[in-house]
Amino acid sequence: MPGRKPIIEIKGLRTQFILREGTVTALDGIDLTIYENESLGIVGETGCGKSMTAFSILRLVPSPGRITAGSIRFKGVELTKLTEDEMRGIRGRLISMIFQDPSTSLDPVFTIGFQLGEVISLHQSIYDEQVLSKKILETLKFVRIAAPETVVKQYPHELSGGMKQRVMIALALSCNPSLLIADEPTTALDVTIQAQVLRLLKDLVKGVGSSMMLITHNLGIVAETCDRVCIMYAGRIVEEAVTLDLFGKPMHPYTQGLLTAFPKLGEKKEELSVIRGTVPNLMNPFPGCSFVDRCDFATDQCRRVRPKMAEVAPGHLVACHLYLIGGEKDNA
Amino acid sequence: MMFHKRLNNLMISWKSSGGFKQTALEIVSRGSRNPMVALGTSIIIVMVALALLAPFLPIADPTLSVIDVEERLLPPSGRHWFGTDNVGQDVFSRVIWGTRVSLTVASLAILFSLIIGVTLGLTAGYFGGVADYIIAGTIDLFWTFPAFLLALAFAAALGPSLMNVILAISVSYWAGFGRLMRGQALAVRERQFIEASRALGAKSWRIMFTHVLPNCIAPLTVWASVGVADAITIESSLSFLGAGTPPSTPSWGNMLNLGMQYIGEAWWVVTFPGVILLITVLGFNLLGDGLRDVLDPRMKGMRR
Repeated sequence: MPGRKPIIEIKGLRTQFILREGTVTALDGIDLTIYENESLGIVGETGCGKSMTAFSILRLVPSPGRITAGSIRFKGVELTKLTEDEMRGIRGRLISMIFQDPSTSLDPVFTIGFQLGEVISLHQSIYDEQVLSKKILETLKFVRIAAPETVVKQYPHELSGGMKQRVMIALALSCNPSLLIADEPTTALDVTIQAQVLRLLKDLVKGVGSSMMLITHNLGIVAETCDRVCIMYAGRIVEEAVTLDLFGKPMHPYTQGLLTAFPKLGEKKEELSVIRGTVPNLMNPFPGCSFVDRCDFATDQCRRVRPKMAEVAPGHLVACHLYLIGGEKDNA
Repeated sequence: MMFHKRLNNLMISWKSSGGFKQTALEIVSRGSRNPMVALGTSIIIVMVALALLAPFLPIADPTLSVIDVEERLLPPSGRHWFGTDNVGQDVFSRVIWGTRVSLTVASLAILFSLIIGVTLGLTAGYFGGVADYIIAGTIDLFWTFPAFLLALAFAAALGPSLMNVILAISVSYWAGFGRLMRGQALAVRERQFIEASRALGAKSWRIMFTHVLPNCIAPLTVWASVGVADAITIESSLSFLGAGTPPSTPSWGNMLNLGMQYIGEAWWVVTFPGVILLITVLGFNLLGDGLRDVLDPRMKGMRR
């Protein structure tokens, strides 16, 4: 997207888990850019590396995992080279994260007010009791919680799932971060609450002027919330496009499979269409396209050469040999 | 940021959220409704009061420098409520002064054990890796021996003094707290709110002390309460075997040891300290058992 300022630029990011049994490549050369005021959706099935991308950005990859290659530039700063202390200053202040299950993301033994206060006073260096309590109430009002005065004194178990997720959003947005990473923020919520929370998230992110990286396996959520989408498969990005383009003209066979697997309302189907086969083992990489065993269009070339991301339409990138007629042979 | 500033912002978060007062009030109100906690606490309050007020009570001097032959082994009477012992000392007075020794030794020993155990256990459980390997190994090593035998060995090696008894009990008892704390920390650190607070930029020490530790307070409190009862028993046993407090100190264990020799002719010398010891230990055990119910997070407030 020319002319827009990138917030975060990821190039060739590779995150690996070095185990006794071998090396698992969780992320295999991720290239990703999120621009200012943009919300980017990351879609993929369980274990494809969506969350690992988020943890890599925050440098919170669980041991024995490690970022082994690539660069993550956040507002021009190389995150992979920062010290742990400097990184801590970025987490929560400049890059925030919301987790999947709100019922376990809040500390059960402290009140909502305490937990909000801890983050706010820590990051904004507020040492005045009155200023802080006012700030806590404002933050709760900001995420449209009714009766914030009561909620402040309540414990997480006294709130509903939707309320807890609102509190998490409040926690994450309390310091006006430049980038908010939402890791399946609505998966654990009731369907009726999902829409509310999503709308709130979208509004607030726009209001604060942040960018958002929304991780989900639900294409419907992406369609509603995101400007741009990346489809991930087995630790790689296989397609990237503006949301409308992706839904209008999915290119990668995997994306096409995902979209047909999604049941539509009003359509009568005896059987749901599925993508056959299972995700390849990330422990034993092979030279070809990782989707080859599940792809209906696979050719010999797909087995031998890994397709690279290429722009096949303006802003629409795909990693598939079907769209690279004649180009980039045998150079993976 | 300086340390006091960090502490300050925690305190402010506490105050501005009204959390502490509410939690404390809630626990007190739930505790008072639990009969075990109520009885246990009452016993402990009486014992603590006796221990604190011992010097001001109108009771006889617990230690005599010379044997008073006239007063030897008198049965309980209006003048000597619990009778007198073999050197003519007032048993009632000695039992009350003994409360002082027992409670001081037990509570200090448990405090030290708690500090050692919690620090090491938390470090081991939270960081894992080499730290865990070393600390968990040390805990297991201490855990192999019964606390009492270990305390006996230490006390015997250090020689009889009040401070040495406290040290001996702490050194032999901390492993239990360490093991409990390590297990709890291992479980709590995997929970999502720990990851969430890391993602929000919290430091390891902050996560350890403001999120992991508070989530382990309930089992620690229960364990500590029962631990005080244990420590009282260990102290008395050590004194009974002559490895504890010096013989002149009015401690329950010493009195039991002494009284045992006269059990045929003067039952009161051994009975009264024994009964008081039993009641005190019972008090702490009741409190511990009751607290287990009261502090259960599933019983906290109303349920969703």
